[in-house]
Amino acid sequence: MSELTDRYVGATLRTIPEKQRDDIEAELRASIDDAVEARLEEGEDAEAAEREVLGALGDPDRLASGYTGRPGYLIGPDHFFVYRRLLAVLLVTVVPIVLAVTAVAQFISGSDIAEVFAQLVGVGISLIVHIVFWTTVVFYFIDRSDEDTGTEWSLSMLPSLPSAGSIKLSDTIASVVFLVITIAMIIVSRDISPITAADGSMVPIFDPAMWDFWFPFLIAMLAVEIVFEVVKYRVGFWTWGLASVNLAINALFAVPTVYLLATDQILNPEFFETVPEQLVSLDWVIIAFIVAISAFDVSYAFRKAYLAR
Amino acid sequence: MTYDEAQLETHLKELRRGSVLLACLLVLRKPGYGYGLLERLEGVGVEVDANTLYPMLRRLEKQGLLASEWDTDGARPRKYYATSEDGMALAAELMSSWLAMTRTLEQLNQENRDE
Repeated sequence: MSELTDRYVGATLRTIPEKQRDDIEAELRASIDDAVEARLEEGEDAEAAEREVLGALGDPDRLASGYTGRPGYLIGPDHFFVYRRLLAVLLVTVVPIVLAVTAVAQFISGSDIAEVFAQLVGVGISLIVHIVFWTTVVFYFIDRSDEDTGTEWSLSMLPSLPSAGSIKLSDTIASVVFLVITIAMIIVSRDISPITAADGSMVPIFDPAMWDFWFPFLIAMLAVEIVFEVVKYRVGFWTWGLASVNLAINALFAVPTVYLLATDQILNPEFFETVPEQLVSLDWVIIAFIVAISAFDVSYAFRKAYLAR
Repeated sequence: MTYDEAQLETHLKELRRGSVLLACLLVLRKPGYGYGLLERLEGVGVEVDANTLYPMLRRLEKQGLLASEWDTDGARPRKYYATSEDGMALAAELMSSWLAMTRTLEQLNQENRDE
């Protein structure tokens, strides 16, 4: 009995439960000795014979998994497809929402765009790693339990066909009307306001400095979104491409808006001198509102695109 | 020839998979030990790897299809396996299925001969 065989047997027994070890060890050693002996009788050199026999037995972990009946994979075919579906849904819903909330929290705490971007990349990566890791861990145990997990596939889980018409004309019209009204309200707010100054002139609710760049930009984004709504209706269903464009438009509108609100640039300070204190917390309500809408819109689009594949 | 060696090997492996278990149950109607069984199977052309056969013997024992006994009288102690009564019954069942399958395939082979 040489050192090589001892090492092989040791490596095999390592993952085998204590009480089976002695029996398996005795049998495995006898089998190895038998095989080596047979080769010696054919005139082979002792060391070469041993190497041949152990080599043919292959990876000791694999041999041990044969003995214990433990599968050599993380998630078997019984649960893999449920696992993959769940993972996809979790990633397209949780990641955009958490990233949006993180962005707001960062702006509130006064970070600039570069810091927020760096933070989002870090949070995004660790979030994805966590979701994939913990989902895999849970499914690893589900796969090894005999319990019925109620995750059987059924006909009712079939996604609907990506037919033209799964985006309703009424929804498209509602969106376009909403966008037009938003643009109109921004433009009108320049000249019409419920508040008048002591000299009788209007005090606009938004800071006039916004018209230098940001309002034209945001109105352009809203106009792009109107075009997008029409294109989406013509395509008829969510695709990965549409969902990605939707993400970009949402980001280009929501991120600057939240940033401007958080840094007190949108609302006109003069306007708030004349209204009660409580109203000043208005920007946080608006921020929460914008973030919630954008996050929901982005994740909804990706979920639809995933189902329509 | 439209298939390559690797393909042939894969398909042969699939085809043999079920036969090894039946061959074991049949051979072990006369008690035998791991390496002895491996040689015997190789001798009659049933190809099986040691790392598949040894764990399988234990699985069959656990399922009650084989019975085992240590023989410590020989040059080295060996674990002898023998097909149990349950194993015999299962072997008979599997054997008749195997033969039925062979007949079916033979029949299909005849049917398509002219085409």
